[in-house]
Amino acid sequence: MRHTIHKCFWAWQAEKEEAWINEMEAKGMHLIAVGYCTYIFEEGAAGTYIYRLELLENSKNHPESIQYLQFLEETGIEIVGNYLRWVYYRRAAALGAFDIYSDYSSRIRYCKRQMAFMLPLIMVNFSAALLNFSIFFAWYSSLNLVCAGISLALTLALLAGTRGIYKQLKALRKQRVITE
Amino acid sequence: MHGYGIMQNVAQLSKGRVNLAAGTLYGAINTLLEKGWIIALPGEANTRKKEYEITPQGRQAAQNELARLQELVDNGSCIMKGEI
Repeated sequence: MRHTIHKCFWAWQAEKEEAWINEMEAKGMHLIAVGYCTYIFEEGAAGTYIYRLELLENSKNHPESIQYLQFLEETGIEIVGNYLRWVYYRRAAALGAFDIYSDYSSRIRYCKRQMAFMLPLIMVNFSAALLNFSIFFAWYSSLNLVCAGISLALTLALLAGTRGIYKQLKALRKQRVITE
Repeated sequence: MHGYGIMQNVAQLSKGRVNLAAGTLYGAINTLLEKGWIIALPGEANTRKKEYEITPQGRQAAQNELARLQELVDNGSCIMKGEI
């Protein structure tokens, strides 16, 4: 039996989203498709799969992504679905622990990729906030004040999310220095 | 050897201590290809799995690395024995 669940996660909450999908799996709900704030699960035996999320460097249809995803599939990884540049993977739990990256350098590069994804979003929201504030001060339009407030709140939320990724990056860099 | 074969081989060689993740291996393979240390073999029609082969330059680089690691082991052994 299939179940559709609508749930939203912010762009910087990939780990939380991944943990939630794996919690659902532990209850016997296998993720089979994703969409905007939409997750489709199918009932089955609990603990069959381990799920992972990854933000690709390019879009899913970019030749480099196609080559990369084909390589992952060759190693037993199944692509469940994607949303924008986010790809949802699963692999049979029987094959053992499942991670996309197993070395510090790759994990550091991945953190940088996530931060590079967030940066334009921060810039766009901050610019929108500034623009709406300037319109509000020129025309005293309350609608622009509301829009400016929303954009500013989003900018701050994005900054907080990016700070979390930056903390991860710093911790990984420290660990790499110790192990090198 | 193909990607999944490399992962299995590494796990077997290290008795399960080293489990190469697919994303890490993909990056490593691309680096080795760029350096010309391995080449991708032409794919067979009945399989999508890409196979790779070490080149003479790759073999030389591996030998140099082995010599470097051997030197580290020798130095470590000398230090532990109190010879240095």
